[in-house]
Amino acid sequence: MASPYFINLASFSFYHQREDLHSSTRPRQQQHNDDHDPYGSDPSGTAVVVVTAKQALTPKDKKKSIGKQVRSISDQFHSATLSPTVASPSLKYAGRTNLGKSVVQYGASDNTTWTANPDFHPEVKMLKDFEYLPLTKAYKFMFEKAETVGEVRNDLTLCLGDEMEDVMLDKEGEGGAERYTTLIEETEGMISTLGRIHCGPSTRLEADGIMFEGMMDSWRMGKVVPLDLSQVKGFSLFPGQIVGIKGTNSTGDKLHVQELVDGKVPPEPSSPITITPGTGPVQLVVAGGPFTTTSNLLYEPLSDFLTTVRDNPPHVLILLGPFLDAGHPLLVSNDLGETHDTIFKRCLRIIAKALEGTLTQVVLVPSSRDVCSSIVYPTPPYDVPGGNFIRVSDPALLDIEGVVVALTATDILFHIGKKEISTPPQTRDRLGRLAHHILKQRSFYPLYPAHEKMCVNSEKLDIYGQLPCKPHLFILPSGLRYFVKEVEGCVMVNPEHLAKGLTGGTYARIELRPPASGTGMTGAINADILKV
Amino acid sequence: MWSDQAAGGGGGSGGGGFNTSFGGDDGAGYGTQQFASPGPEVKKNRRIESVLPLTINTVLELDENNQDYLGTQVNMMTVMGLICEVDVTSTKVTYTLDDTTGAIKVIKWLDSETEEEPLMENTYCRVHGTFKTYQGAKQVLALHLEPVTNLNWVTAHILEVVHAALQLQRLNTQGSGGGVGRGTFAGDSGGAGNSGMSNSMVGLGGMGNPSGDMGGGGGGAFAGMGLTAAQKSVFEVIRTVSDDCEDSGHSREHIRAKVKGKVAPQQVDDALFFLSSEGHIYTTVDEDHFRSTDG
Repeated sequence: MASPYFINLASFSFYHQREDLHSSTRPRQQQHNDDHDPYGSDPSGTAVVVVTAKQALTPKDKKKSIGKQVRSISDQFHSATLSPTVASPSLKYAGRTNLGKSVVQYGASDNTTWTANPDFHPEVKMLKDFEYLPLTKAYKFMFEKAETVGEVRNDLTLCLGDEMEDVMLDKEGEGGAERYTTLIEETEGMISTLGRIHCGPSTRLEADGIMFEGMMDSWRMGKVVPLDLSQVKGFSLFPGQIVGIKGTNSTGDKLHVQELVDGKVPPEPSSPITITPGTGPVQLVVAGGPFTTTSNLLYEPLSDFLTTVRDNPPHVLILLGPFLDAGHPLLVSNDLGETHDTIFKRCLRIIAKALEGTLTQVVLVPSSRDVCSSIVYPTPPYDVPGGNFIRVSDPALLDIEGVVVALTATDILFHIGKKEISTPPQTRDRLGRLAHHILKQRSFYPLYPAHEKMCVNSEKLDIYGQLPCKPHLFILPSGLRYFVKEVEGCVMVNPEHLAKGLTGGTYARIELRPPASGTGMTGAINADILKV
Repeated sequence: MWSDQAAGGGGGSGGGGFNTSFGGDDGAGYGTQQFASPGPEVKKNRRIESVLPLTINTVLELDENNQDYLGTQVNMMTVMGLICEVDVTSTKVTYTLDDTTGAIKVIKWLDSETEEEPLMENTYCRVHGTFKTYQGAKQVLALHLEPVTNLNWVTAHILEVVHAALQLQRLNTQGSGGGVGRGTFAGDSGGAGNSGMSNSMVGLGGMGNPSGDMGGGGGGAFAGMGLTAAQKSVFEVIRTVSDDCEDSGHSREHIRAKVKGKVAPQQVDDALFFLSSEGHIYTTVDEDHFRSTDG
């Protein structure tokens, strides 16, 4: 019996030479090899040929294969080339219950038809205001100097400090601090200072050992001191968080905190919303990867999802990676009969085909977890040809008819949630609090040091990972439970993942209605989270 | 080749068993394996010798009577630097080697049988040798001297110097936490970082136990999370990760069984719903397997 590895390792270029050769010189080998074929035969009769290693490596007569017609590539890479585990349908997925059930509703979703006006073609573009620069190309990474990282981080701290001036400083000279003081300067009395929460040598914050990395002075000198938070009533902190502190630092080795300011929500976007009653609402559907169950690579949840999308096509379909999760068991064990790119291209082809003839525009967001995109964060757009997709980076800020939509495929909520420490114990809405941090820190990834599986390029994060304005809609698929929440006038949607381990997950559909005059966009968003 | 020269030239290489922990697979030819074979003349009291990568400054600071570096005797060493001066006599060549931390004389005795060309000035070279003091001046007695052909050797050498120092420090402090690497690297972009941990307790009076969900530990560690008794018991079960359920976490049935008698099944479901809405736990392989987020 041939082992599955034999087929996997056999080079495909040899493979078709071989087959042509055998077909012309002698009867096809598989005729008397049917019982050796564990992969299931193709109905057209061009089944996998199992030959010995010697034949695979030494074609008898190369000349004969020249001029022969070579089968098309896509013909070869069908599921027959996959090993049985890759191609067997998941029973658990097929046996799932509550198909299509709505699990979360937000806004007036009951009265919503979720049908898109076919005469309306909303324009999807990258945000143009606030000097936002979209990341469009791959860049070199792993070239960062520690010095640069330090400077970038310090600059970010100072920028947010400028924004917090109104609460932190007292420019009028009414007794408060007039400027930020570094921790190097030894001063009696109250100071206002800036810096980051620092977890010290341990990787997580402990309530009795929260450190504070003060901003650098003009000599690039900084200082790390422990915080005395006994005077502060409540706080929620995580490593890397930029905070402004009012307090005393008389000894120079401990900061007694009187008041703690944890960032500031960015300003409202300035672009006018061009969704009008005449055009009708914009329909969005959002799904986050992974799109296949962990037991196979058949993308059953994706196919089912696309079927529902096709039945009721939205204006915009946003798909966030990973399409091919580097953590997928079959990728980890390398039990594949084809290249990663082939699988990914097939995925794109399936998506493009399912939406053929509809007005739906598809937005693809990469993920650093995807084997088909760069491993670095911020992640440049997918660079795989095929299909008519809008490819954006992770993270990205979109402008859909004036509505600013923030997208990130990275599970920042989960990452902050692991490190966050808060007091007094808040029993309600921890997820809302975590989402709050992202807005207040004005960053798609404020956690530092980053999660151990993340490779964050600080320099690029400074350019592409900031929130210059408050988005109307924030989409962040997370491993934490799905939710739709309004936080500081921004609707945050966590559609969770389309495939959840062995079974199906959830996706979101969102309707952006024309806002009533005088009210913000928040009241004009309806959202529904559905099971696939 | 090496052991021949060592035996004939310097006579310094006693027994085998060079105690180096630096994997010499870097293509720089600095393999510890090649030193590992016992020399031809094995002395009775077998000394454990090690080849230490050092900077010239360290060599200059060695005490001539007690060649001790971070608690280890320096016998054989590797230094790397630029040749500033060459002085050729009939029996030996004296080089002055500078690696920007200092300059030292390196003596290479000439072998009458093999015709050796002395190295030129301004050559970057690597020296394996021993430490000698001659008329009060510190010198390196070179056993082997070779020009650097790949600049990565220099980088590798610097890394080895740092690594050796850290390894030795760790050997010294073993048993007391062994956190050398940590202490050295923890100071990050903050500049002159005073990253030492303070042991003083920050007073957090009247706040319960805020370290509850971070500190880890058993029983009553969750007082700070504001959970009900039922939620607490369920969360405790989920937090304990055993080997058989490493990835997927605990199943709903398992949790129900664990808290049976204490919490009713309906309450377990409510608690699971609450904990996942709050982001304390998340579902893994399907909707009936849970893991804790802080694990």
